[in-house]
Amino acid sequence: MAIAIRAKQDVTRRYLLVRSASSVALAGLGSLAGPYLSRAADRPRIASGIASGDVSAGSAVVWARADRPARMQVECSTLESFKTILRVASADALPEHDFTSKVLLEGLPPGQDIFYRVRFEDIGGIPGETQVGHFRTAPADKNSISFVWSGDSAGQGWGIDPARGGMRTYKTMLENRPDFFIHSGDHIYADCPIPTELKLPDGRTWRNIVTEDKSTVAHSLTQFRGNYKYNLLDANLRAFNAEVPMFAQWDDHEVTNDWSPIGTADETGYAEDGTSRLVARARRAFFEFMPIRSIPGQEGRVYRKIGYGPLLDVFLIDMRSYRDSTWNKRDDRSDTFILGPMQLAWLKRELAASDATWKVIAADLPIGLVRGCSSSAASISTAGPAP
Amino acid sequence: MTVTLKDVHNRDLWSVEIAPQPDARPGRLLAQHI
Repeated sequence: MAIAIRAKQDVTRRYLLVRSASSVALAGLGSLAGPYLSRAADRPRIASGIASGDVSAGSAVVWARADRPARMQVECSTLESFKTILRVASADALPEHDFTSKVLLEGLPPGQDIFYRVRFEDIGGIPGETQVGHFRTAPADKNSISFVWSGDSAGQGWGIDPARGGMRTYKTMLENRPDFFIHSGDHIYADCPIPTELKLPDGRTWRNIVTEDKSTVAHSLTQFRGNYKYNLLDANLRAFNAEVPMFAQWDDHEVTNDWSPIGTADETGYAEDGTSRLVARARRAFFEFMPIRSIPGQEGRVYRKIGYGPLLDVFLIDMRSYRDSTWNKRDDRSDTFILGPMQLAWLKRELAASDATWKVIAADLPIGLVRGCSSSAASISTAGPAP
Repeated sequence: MTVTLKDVHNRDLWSVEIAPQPDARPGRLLAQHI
């Protein structure tokens, strides 16, 4: 299920050219990629598609993953032909980050369609294939904005069934031509292995693509990474990622069901500072695979604000990393907390300072009214586990 | 602002119109009650 939002303004909404990822990629090959002397297998490949995220009026994150040690080269332009290059950036894709790489493109013009192309060069400088993506920077004026939000990818064993079209929700969301996508968490279900088959209530069979790392509950860094790589096997998701920037949150299943900072550990236990080693591996994989902007001096912080022009500020909160570990586990909840004091102070401060017409708070848990009798939904009011 | 709930077939399941209230300072009000 996806939810689409369209801010109503008098300005006619733009028509955005969206093509399949393959046709866009072909468009970019002409000028960037030259003839190669080496065989295709010798050149670095883009292993899991490309993506953008955390787009503001003047900047955006671009993400990609290589199949070997390489250096990512990114060029962007306001022209689909790339006749004029606006910005270039590069970053290493190394084994210690599973060959993922991110760059922050800055100094972009507001309210513009930005086309970017990505390729990897190996350590000898030999370039590989090129893929082309797109995002639109946030407007400087009160122009129309549309976005979609959703969450919960490949849960409870329901993975990619090619015969059913794979992750069709992403295709549907792309058809709505949103300016951006808020993924409110559970990008993966690290605690839910994907089996070969599932039986549907009507007796039919759901047949999953399966991988070794997605066939067991994730504990190792390799397995957490494998969960993200599994989702990126889906062509719908890769095509969506190439065209629509993501604002990524996380919830519980990026680590394990209903996790809290204390009390969530496997046999590897806790580090000297008291943090869970399991959570650290999960967080590392999340940041490696998400096109999320790093906050200087606060590595691993998920909560952040993204200003999207005068009409909209988006507040992405983290309802897992700082919660009271007894939340949900005892009757007296009078002194428990979800956001933690620092995040709560940040949210209050940023909300009060926001002049945007719309302030969207993206929460990874449903927020409900506190009622005496509630048992039908998981939320911070009902205190049930997250779906 | 229009909020629409859609299914995987892109069918609208539910929709609601929300009017802006620029003078209400909702951020300030909300922050007092969190």
